[in-house]
Amino acid sequence: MMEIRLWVVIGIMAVVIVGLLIKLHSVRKSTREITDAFAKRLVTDTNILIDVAGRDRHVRQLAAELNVQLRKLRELRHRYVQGDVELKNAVTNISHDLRTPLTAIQGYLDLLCQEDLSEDGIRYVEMIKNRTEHMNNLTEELFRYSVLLSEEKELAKKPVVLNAALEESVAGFYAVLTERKIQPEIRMPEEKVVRLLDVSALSRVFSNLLNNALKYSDGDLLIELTKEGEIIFSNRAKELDEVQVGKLFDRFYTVEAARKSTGLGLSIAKTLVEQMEGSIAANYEEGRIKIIIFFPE
Amino acid sequence: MEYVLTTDELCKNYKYCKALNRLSMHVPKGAIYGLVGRNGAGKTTLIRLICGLQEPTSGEYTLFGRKNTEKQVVASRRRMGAVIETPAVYTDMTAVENLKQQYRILGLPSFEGIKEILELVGLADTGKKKAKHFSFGMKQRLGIAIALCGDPDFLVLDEPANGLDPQGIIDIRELILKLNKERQVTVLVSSHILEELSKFATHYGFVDGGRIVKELSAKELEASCRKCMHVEVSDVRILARVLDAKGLEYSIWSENAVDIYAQIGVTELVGELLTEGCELYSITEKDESLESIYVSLVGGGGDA
Amino acid sequence: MRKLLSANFSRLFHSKVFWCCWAVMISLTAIPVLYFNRLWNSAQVRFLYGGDELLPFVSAVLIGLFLGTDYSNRTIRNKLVAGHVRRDIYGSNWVVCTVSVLIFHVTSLAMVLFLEYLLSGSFYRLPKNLFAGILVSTFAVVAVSTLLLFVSMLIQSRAIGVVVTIITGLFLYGSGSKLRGALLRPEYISEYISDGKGNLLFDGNVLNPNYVSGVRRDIYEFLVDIHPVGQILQFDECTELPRAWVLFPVYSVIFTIVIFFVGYYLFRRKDIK
Repeated sequence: MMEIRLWVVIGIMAVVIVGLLIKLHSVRKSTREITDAFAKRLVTDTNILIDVAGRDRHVRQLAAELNVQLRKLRELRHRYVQGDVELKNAVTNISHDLRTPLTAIQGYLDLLCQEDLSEDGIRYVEMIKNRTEHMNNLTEELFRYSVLLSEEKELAKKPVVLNAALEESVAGFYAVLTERKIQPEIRMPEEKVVRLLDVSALSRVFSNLLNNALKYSDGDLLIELTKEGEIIFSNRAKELDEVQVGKLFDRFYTVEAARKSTGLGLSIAKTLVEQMEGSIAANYEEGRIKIIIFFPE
Repeated sequence: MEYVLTTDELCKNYKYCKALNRLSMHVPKGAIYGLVGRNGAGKTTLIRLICGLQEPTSGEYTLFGRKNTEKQVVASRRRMGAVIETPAVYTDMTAVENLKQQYRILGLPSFEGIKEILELVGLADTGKKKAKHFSFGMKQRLGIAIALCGDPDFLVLDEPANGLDPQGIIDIRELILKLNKERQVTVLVSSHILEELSKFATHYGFVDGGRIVKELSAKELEASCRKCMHVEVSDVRILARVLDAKGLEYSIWSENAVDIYAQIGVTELVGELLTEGCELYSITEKDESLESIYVSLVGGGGDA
Repeated sequence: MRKLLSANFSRLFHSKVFWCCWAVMISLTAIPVLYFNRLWNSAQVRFLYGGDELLPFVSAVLIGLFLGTDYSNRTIRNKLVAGHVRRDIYGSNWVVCTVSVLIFHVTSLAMVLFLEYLLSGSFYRLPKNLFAGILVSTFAVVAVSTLLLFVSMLIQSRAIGVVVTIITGLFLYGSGSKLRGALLRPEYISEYISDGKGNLLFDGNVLNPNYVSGVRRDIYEFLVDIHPVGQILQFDECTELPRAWVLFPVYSVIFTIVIFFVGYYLFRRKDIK
């Protein structure tokens, strides 16, 4: 009799221990699942929340609490994306709407020019024409920028020889640069550096950067191409400082010293470079500003 | 361009017919993709394959970047919700119980959010009514609610407007648009009514005979609608003569009305008509109807 | 699979079908015991448990209806779209069916033993025989449930599925009891003749023409040993254990595994509508 009772007790204890071990394993597995799931949800652009397979009440409560926070995060993300889209649409519409009155103004200005005016009058009309043209350029840039951002245009990537592309862009600007008394210096490696890029986008980037150099340079311009695929535009610019250089790529940031600029040129360049899977950065050292573009292979 | 779903030469053979014949399609992220085709063209079969109900005979598809042959495709499936053919609801349970059941199947840790989903689809006040007492429209909504339980990133709806009254169709359309805009849910909707789809789809895939005949975006579809000038004149025959002389394509509607499928110089036309002694009453620009595009792409009426 | 188990069990314990079947099982098990007690003033249960012939039917009804609902409502789609694989769906369904059948089995056994003890103060069988009977019948019942699951999962319609499972249950019981019945026929029949005065005189023993013998008997014996219902019936009315009863659970386990995996492979390749 005693023996049976002993065996029964041992049996029950064994069952209890096995049960607890199973439960422990299950809870461990569930917490690991939650950790993985949480990490993934934060990084992926997804709507789904965490789910757990285990039945343990506390584990599920943990997951439920995490889900509450994930839900809030998700809402914020949705609102941001929606707002961003709406903002881009608004910018496109506004820049579009500005064209109509501007065209009218320019039309009438042309008529006005043909009238008999006093000397002062002619001067005033010239100034107005100048300013209107500037406004026109601004609107065009704004429109092109909004189109660039909102439309996901497929870039036509072809193998491009960076050496030749760079030379071509600089050659195009040579006349303007010498007019401003800026002597460009180009350094390139012997071998051809080839990357998969969109030709027109690349030339846009280069011309925007060269324009930038025109505005900010004190008199020199150094353009380097390295064989790792880095393109560096650097020049002396004593009027700038580190803080301003850091903000150069922000939309609409314009440095006081520059005239006739929108500040969009560099932002457009940045967007295009990133669309081609490259990177662009600017830094300021010892009175020189350096803009570095990198296209990995 | 990120694609939520791509299929690559999918084939599905049943005993006596080839339902899918090398079907390849691409659903971009954030799109509302309209799958258009006649009854029996293979839309439902395609959806069944994508949802994992059946295996393809050959070919493969990719969901959120994972192939259907990989084990991790299960994680991609978790991001999907689907209503296939008839809504799959437990008829002897209430709406809330149905959603709770789906929550358990998904493994969600709490029943939070059930009320919001029911409000979203418009079933908030069904209380203790069992699903077998629901009207057809309500069952459809419940089916969609079940599909939305897991907060999907990709929603697949198989002919959701089927059997719904006009208000129901509007409600579904509004719901799809809302989900797409506010929650960035990509939606795949199959239908044989292009008119209805054209009100909200951003991309189209035309299915016929088990393959995708054409895939285009809404903008491209609009552009390909042939523009025509609808002209009303006093004498159609004179107009016909004039147009023939120019070698322009046209079709005659009646004694007074003609559709011209080309760009014409209006001043020139009017001048010539005047000399011939024909009066021009009105000119309007028209778009080719979506029906005619549909028919030209997918073939004549009747079932496949 | 745990998610599916949670969902299935919640549906099971909320379904009226389950509780009705269980109530039917319990009552129809208890009633014969009480009736016999009334009749013979003894609740000595000669059958292993009053409801062994009921279990295949009641289980068939439950499994057919419960699993068939997933097909008739097409809710199996929800499970597949949510990402669950066929293995998990089949496995979780097997667990739920087996658990519910075991619940029926254990509770009706307990009910019978309880009534027997209550009304008679003791058990008809020796503890060893009882234990053996319970062990064998538990494994046999699992085998039955696996077979019913097999049938139910492969028929994509609830109405047809229930009919076929009930027929399967009938077949199981019918074939089992027929085999057993055939083996129970005695080898010799005593013949009697009348002596004209209303008395019957013993005339000798004669060979029973219906007696199953030879190779046929061997086959029948083997079949009744592997047949789940046959195994259970062998424990009826016996004061001693059937020979080689230890092998019975082994046969049941083999039966279960074979049917399970055949059903699984067929289910995996099935096209779901």
